[in-house]
Amino acid sequence: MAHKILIIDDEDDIREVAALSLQTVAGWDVIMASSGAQGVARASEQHPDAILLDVMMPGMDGPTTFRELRKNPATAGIPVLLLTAKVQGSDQRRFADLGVQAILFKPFDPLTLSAQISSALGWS
Amino acid sequence: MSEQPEDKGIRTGVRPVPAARGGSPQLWLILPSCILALWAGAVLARRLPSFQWESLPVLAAGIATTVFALILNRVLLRPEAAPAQVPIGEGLRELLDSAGPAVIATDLRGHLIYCNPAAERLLGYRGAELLELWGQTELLAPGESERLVTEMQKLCHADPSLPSTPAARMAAYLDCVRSLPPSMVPSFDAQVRRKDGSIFPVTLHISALRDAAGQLTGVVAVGVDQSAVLHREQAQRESQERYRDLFENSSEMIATLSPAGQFLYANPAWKRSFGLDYAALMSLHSFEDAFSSTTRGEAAALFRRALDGEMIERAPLRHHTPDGRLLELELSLSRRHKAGIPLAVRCLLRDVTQQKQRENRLALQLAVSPIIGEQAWGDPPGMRILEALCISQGWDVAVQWMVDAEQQHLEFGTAWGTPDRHAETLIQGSMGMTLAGSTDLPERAWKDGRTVWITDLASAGKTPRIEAALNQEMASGWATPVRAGSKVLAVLEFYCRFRLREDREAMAAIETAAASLGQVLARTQERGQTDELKRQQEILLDSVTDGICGMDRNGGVSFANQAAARLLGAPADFLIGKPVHELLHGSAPPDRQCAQDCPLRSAETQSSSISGEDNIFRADGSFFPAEYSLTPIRGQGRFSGSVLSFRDISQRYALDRLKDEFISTVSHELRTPLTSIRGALGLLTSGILGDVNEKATNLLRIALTNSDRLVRLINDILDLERIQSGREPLAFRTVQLADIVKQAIEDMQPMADSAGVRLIHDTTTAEVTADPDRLLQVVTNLLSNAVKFSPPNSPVSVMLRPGVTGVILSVIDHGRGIPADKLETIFGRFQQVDASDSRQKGGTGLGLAICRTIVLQHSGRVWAERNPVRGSTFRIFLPYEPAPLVSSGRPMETETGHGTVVLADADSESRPRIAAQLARHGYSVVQTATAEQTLSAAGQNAQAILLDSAPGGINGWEILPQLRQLDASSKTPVVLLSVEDSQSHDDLSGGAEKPAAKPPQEEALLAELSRALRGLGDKARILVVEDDRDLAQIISEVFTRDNIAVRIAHSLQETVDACSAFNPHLMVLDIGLPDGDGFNVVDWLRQHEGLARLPLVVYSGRELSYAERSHLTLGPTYFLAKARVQPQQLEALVLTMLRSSRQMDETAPRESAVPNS
Repeated sequence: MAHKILIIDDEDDIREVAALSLQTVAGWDVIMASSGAQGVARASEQHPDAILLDVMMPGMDGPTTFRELRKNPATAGIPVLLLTAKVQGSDQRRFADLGVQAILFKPFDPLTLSAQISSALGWS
Repeated sequence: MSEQPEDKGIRTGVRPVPAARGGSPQLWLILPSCILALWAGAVLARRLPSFQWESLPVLAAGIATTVFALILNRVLLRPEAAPAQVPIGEGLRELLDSAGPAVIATDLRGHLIYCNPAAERLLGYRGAELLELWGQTELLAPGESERLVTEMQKLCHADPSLPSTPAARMAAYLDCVRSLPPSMVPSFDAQVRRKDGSIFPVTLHISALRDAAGQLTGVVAVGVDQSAVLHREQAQRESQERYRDLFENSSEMIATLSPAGQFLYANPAWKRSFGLDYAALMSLHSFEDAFSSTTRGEAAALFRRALDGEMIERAPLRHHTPDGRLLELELSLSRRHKAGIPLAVRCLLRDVTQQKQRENRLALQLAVSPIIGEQAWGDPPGMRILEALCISQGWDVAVQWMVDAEQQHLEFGTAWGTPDRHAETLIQGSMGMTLAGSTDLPERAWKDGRTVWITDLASAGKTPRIEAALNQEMASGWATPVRAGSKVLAVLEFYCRFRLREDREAMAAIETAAASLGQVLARTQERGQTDELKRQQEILLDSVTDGICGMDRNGGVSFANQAAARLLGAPADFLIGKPVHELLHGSAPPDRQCAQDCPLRSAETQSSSISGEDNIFRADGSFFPAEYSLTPIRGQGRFSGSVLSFRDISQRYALDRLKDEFISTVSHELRTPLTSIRGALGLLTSGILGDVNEKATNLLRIALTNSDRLVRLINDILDLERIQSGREPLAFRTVQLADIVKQAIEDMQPMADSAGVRLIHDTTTAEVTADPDRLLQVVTNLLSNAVKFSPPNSPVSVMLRPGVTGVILSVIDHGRGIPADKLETIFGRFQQVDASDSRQKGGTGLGLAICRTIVLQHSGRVWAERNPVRGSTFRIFLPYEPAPLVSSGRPMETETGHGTVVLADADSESRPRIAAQLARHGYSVVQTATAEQTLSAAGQNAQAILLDSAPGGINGWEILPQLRQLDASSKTPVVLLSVEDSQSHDDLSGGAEKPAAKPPQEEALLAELSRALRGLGDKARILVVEDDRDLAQIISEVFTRDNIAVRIAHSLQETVDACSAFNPHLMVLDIGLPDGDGFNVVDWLRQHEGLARLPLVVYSGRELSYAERSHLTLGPTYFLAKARVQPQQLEALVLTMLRSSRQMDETAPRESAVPNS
């Protein structure tokens, strides 16, 4: 079954690669947003099955966006996976405390990205 | 006496004479005259100056005899009286019977006619016996009767004829009595014999009994017993004798003085003390003139007071004798007076000099001891000792001269003088004075090392001090050295206005004072040094920025430096006495109180050192992050307190924060583009997006591999930083080590499978306390290494060996093994056995560093061993219970000793500097300054010799052959330090290595030394990149004789190939190449780890611009202009560079070292 994934990342290249990966490797539908605010809007409009959310973004960063998503009843139930380049343990704990479904690390392997998401969300 | 009843009532009274009895009226008539006579005698006796009361009874007896004779005349004149029973009237008889003297009367025939009871008592006969024996018994002592008769005859001027018979004697006796005029009652002293035969003295008064007509009728003898009188007289004589003896021999001076003050009597003691004989004393105008001038006034005043009636008792006086002695005296005076008119003054003067001396000595000691004992400063102790000494001895001036530190002269120290003008003037004149090179009194005492005493200053040689003293009327002077041990620290100089001769007492006092002063001075000097030391320490302590507090044994602050006060925001006084916890956490506001298990709480009770990081609270409740350490001090094995030091690490915290941010940013900023690259490459390589031709696939694979490597590198750098920073503490818990091993094997299985390596583990189990994630990282890392370096089909085994204190985990491979010299270095960062490993094996060079850091955090060890046959074994020791790490957890920089180096340099300026440089880099340095020292030191296990070759110093060129001779077998490398680089290298054939420029740059020096210590090992490899084949040939030939492998590349492609195959140590690079240029080569090199810092000699035909040079610079890079450089210069340069070639620390390109560039 083709899942619909929303990718929120300010980096165009990463967005492209991730989208290509999910589309070509897993055959999922991908919608994209280049900022937190846009992401929240897209999420409430299009109801993706999951959201891949970058942490460091100008303006609304990942955690803020996540909280916004959780505030909005339309998006509150959508599982969120954080995509982060940070490896410091303190950051990881902070993110885990937010209540996200999983934390994925950059750089990711495009061939296994969809598998990581499926595994984190319990998709078969 | 009769015992008549009627008498009883009046026995004690005077018996009234009954008027009826005959004769009594006559008796009463004569009694008044008797009484009158007695009284007159008494008065007369008083008038006579020589009268002695003791003679009164004799006089009385004489008078009494007269009276008795008169009475007997009355009584015995009765004609009818019987001879034995004298008809005596009752009243008179009673009188005679009760008289004290013995009364005996005889008639003219010599018959006894009366004797009274006193006579009976005296002679020891009863009356009846006497009557019976009278005339038959001699009552006088033998010879006495003859003498008495003779005396009687003399008295009455009769012819002396000595009758031989008693009867004749009686007749002569009566004749004499008869011829006496009636008024005369002669007295004789006679010896009388008592009935018992004893002889006793009696005074006999003899008178005649006459009748009314004046006719002699008998003789009366009244005898007064003189025994008692004689006794008394003798006792008196003896008493007088005793008194005289006492006075004459008394050690005390006794005198009687007239009210005018003159001596009336003086005993001989005066002569002993005053040296004045009796006559001299008697001729003195006044008593006080006997004393010395200072005492006279006092003596005169005391005399006047005594004259006024005051009892002067033991008034102290001090007397200086003309012969230079000081006498301590006590004067007692009392007057003898009559009706308030003074008759005389009794004077008692006691010489208490010895007693006083004893007292003075005691007083001096009592005065001096507290001065010595005192710890506090105050008056100079010297002055107080001088004062005590002078007062006790009565000296006028004392000056303390100090011996200066160089023992060259005496300086005025302190002084004391009696409060008067002379002493003061003398002291004023001494102040600030320095005595040097003269033979004045204090200096003589100093030089002689003993007391010098001048009793008579006036007759001594004139020196400035003596003159000054004489000018102030001083009479005697002396000086004594003050010692501490054998060293003379000071000299005491004394003056006295009286002539004082040296005596034992004064010397004893001086010794007491000098010894005490010696102690005080020695201690003062010591204390001075201690104070200086303390001052320096305080300056030191106050100049550091760390807070430092000294804690006493009870854990209270006893000292706080300025920084401590500043950091804690409170004055130092405020900190004193506080315990550590109170000091650092005491000001914490309630909401910031530390936990109960705060290590500082129990700090004061611990005698082991503690350290850590914590917030420290200022007095105002604000706080700052700090690093502290509390180190106990042990004095002679006993805990005597501790030192607390703490420093504000907010800056470090700020830096740490900045670093965190930087790392966070870098990790993001690097990973973000990498994510795109890695993702894009991954998708392309997968073929998902369509087929790619073979060449492109290969390139994509390269790109993918390297992007993966870059990711790993970034991850490892961040990981290592993160672990080493200690900011993420380990999560210790009980771990089954076997589980960790299984997990690691599971993780590594895919990699092992693809490499064809078998992973094996044993079944031993062991439980340790560890952070499982970190431990897994370690084991995985070791397994990954083992797999990487194992040949296919070889096993990698993991074994657990539980021990007593911990477990050893071993990872054993059968790979190519690790050279012995790399077993330790591989645990450093980017330290791989071979520089190409990172490329070939995809390692980052950080894995083992990470492993070591993690194991250290588990209080364990990790090391590598070479297997006996093949491969290596990595072992980890993990204690069952890791010791908690108190400090921030930064691993220790393991500074390994590089060995002992002899530094031979005659230049005392450069030598210590070079030595310090070497020491800083872990070399033990033996410094020598002469050729002999160098040769000697070289023989003692030196690993290298750095030899100064400067002219004028140790001539390295000369000493070298000797060193080689000495050390022919071991070939200790020698590095010459030279002032110039242009020394002829031909001279080096003796065996020295390269001369390093002097003053050497640290890097160059170390590089040279490091190389020398390691040796060249395998042949040095030079790649000469030169398209001109002839020139290339020339260059290669230049080096061939230096036993160096040279390979030549003529093009860019050949260069790239040669780099891989030949792995050169150095490249000589021509700029122009047929298929590119030097810039391309350098760019290519730069991209390859292991080649990116290849030493480079750029050998160009043209001058290069600065920008071009920068572009061409890799590691150590030199630029030579072809046209200007001789092949020999190139050779020298290349040799130099080769020797530094394996020093990876080289950073800056250097151009200056090469001439003509």
